[in-house]
Amino acid sequence: MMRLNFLELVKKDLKVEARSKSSINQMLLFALTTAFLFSLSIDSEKFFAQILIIVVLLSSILSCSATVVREFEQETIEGLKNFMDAREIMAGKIFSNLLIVFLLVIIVTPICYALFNLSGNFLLLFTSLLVASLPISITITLISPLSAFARGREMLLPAMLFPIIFPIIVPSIKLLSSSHAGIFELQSAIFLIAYAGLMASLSLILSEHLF
Amino acid sequence: MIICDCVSKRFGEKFAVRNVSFSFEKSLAVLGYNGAGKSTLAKLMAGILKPSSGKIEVFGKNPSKCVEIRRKIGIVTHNPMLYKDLTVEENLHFFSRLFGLEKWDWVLDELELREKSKKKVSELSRGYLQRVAIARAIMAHPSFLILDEAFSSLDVEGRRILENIIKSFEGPIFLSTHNLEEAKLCKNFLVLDKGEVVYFGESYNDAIKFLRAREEGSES
Repeated sequence: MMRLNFLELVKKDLKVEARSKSSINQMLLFALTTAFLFSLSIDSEKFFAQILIIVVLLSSILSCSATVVREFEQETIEGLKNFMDAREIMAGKIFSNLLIVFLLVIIVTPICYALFNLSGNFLLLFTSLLVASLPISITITLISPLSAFARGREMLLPAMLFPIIFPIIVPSIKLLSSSHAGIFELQSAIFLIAYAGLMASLSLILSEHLF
Repeated sequence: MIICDCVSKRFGEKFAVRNVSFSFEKSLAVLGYNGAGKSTLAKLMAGILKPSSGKIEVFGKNPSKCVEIRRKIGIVTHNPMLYKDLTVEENLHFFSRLFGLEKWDWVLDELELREKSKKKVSELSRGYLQRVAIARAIMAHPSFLILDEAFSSLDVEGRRILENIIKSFEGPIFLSTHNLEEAKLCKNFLVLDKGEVVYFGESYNDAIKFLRAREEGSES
């Protein structure tokens, strides 16, 4: 039976993140700069869903991979392996990254809402973006340990991620676009949640080989 | 009983340890020069690394497959495995929570770390880092202690503390070192050279002979 040790890992990750602020600052700066540039260059009201997905996806790559890669770089992963099951480590990392990405969504959504001159239901847009960020965050957590020792990690991670994340891009855009019209597209939401569940299960199954 | 049976570990094409076999009950000093495979063997014994072939048993179970056994092992390596952005207290508290320990701060007194407990790990000297790593390793009263170059970077006081810990420890100890004086604390000796066992036995003098022979061989 999996103990609740992973919650201790989540607490520790958030504390380290709050203390160092390195990836959160990087993530927010990147997200806001990208959103601002897009809002100036294209019809952001028309393409807001695509822009939001790009912003969340790329910012998540920066922050979610950092929580995993840091453990390998500082060799603290060996300390964790001494006390924890690989599944517990993976579960902890999944939850830490989910919380970090949710924080990003909480900060970025109102700013983008104002920046893109959106007039739809804000709460629906916010909920839709949270649902869309679920599979993104979990998939990045799954892939990050594979790229931890790679030389061109920053290039390799998006390249490895793209084919796996591809199936969720269209449903995510559909979900966000429809939320602007005041409709919660249940079919896309279910698909995204199911995909997140599939990735989480795969992460736990493969954790023994990843850590 | 700690058993290592024909264990090999390969990184790519290169063998870090090859066909290593030994068993011991009380204490084992692993001697060898840099690159002999001591640290890899220590991590294999702790279950942090999985052997490419062969079998390791700690109290009858494979540590790489059984987290319950790994939790009974206290390990100190040359890498302290601590979080630089957290304080000494926060680091130790985190590991104590993983064990579900209520009382853990006795290690601060044991390792004379009380004064440094509020300091960030990144602000500590190498010697104090090593003390925190030792505190982490012993806080849950392990049944098996693995010390890989644990004396390195410790000052005289730190060495005295660690020597006392070793002397009073009741379970088996795996002590990897290239310091011959430290090895005297153990009852069994294993000499490694390029990942292979060149001596395993109870004679300290024979272990030294084999180690010196290797040194002369490599020099000539």
